[in-house]
Amino acid sequence: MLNIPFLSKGRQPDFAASAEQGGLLIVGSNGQPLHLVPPKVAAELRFLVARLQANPLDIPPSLAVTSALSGEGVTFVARSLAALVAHDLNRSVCVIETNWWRAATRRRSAPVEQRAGLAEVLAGVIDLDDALVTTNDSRLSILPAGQAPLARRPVIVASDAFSAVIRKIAARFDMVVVDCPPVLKASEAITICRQCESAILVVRHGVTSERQVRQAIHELAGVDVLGLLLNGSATRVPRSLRRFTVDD
Amino acid sequence: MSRRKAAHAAVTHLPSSRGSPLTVARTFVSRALEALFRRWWLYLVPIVLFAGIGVALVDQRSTEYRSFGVLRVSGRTVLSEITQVGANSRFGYETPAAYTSREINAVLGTEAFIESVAERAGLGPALVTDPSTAASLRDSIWASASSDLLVQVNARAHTPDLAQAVARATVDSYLQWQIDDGVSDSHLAEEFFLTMLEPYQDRLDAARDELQEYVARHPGPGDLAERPLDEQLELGRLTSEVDRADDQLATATQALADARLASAQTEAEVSARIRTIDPPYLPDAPEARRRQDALLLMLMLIAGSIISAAAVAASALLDRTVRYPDETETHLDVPVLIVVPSDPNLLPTAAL
Repeated sequence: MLNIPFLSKGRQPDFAASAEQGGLLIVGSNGQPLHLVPPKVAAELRFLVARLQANPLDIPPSLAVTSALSGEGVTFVARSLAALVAHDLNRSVCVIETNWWRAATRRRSAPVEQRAGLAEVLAGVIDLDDALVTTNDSRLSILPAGQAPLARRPVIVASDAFSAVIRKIAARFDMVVVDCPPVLKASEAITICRQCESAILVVRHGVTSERQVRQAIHELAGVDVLGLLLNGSATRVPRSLRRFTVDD
Repeated sequence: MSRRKAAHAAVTHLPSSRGSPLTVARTFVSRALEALFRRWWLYLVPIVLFAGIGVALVDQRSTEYRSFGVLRVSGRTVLSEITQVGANSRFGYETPAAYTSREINAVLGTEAFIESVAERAGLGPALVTDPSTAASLRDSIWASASSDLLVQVNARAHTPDLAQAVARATVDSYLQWQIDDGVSDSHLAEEFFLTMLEPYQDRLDAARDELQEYVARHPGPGDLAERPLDEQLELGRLTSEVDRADDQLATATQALADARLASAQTEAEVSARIRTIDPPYLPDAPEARRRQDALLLMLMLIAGSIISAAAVAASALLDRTVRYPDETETHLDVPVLIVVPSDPNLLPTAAL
């Protein structure tokens, strides 16, 4: 079992068991675990991948994953989906993180060193190749968000340089998954989504209200929103009573 | 809808019953159950609270004592047959006991009767100092028919002595009220004739005095016929005056006696018609009311459950968060692609 520094001892999952049950573990080139796709989540996302494949137009080459509010699991879904497409379909996938808002909150809660990423590439500080984080799956790369001041973010995503970087990455990879900030929290999310072929709206089960989702969809007018992804679904209803519910 | 979205929808969507009344009902039930089991402890609060209030009420009620006396009420008595006092049936289609218990409960509503009971039970001062005494006294007394002829007069109090005293005072007050009701006309007649006796007696005395004075002023032969004609006439007039006054007094005296007899007859008739079979006893233990207590507890539990159910329903109705794919698709007209389950072993996504 790998030692994950940002987890307490009691919560470390059994990676080997997860892998046997269909889960996926993404590890960075430095050996640091970057992401775990639990078996249950992987199973559901495989349905999504299969359905997207069944679409005559196939899986969109660029897919924005966004949400109405923060904390709905956009980064988790984006990375999981990218890892599954790379692993199951043997396609090269790049996750572009544009969720600077999330990166800022993560730094406040867990002091992890912020890597240079998209913001620095656009600023010309580093090359794209240097910014891309490779993983244990050679088909999967991640472009971190980097550090962008709040006031600069709308300017960055509206710039031609941003579009050029997206196009450049899309040309190099079979699929680009863009991890977007929440639509109702950051105006740049709308601009980013419009630069992708399709978008998925992640909704936290039992947390986000219909009004907020409706508002987010309204904000994304003109964007090809494939649909909602209901994340973190859980029920406290006992199994014996579920035959009376829509969970059954 | 874009080409990709339309194509995707064509692949993923099967005909569903979404939006049907059954689905709406199931969704509401789902939300209600979810709300209930998510915060079950919150919805338990009203039930526990009401149960606690019920237990407190039962505990408070269990320290009460009940005393009762039993009256036997007759429709007709031998005395009433002989004297015709109270001979007319007053009960109508009711049984004597039912009529009497209803009458007792009715007179309990009057201030005069409650004051009488309070005075007899030694609660007169409390009645003056605390205006709520009359109301609580009223609430603690009731009568009920236990058979066609038997009436139970009940009183409940926090002490056995007081329960007995109140029950006894109620019985006594009712009997006195019955007597007073029956003899009120007789008493009026008595008072009237008593006031008339003195002037009648004075008139008789005056007539006698005038006759004696005349005889003294005109001494003469003992035989009236030997007296002069004018004396004969005057003596005749004075003698008639005395006789008239005497008759008047005798009539009033007889009427007074008749009125007193009527009072006595009424008292005797009431005593014969309403007899105390069991005088109110001194209760030796608090009243055991298991059935009532159980009913009260059950009602409180039901009330608490209703409030909890209402809170659960309100929570389900007010909860507009996205939970169920069918409902979401109906309300937002956007397909739900997949539902990703929550995983307790989920790693926090690492920041890069």
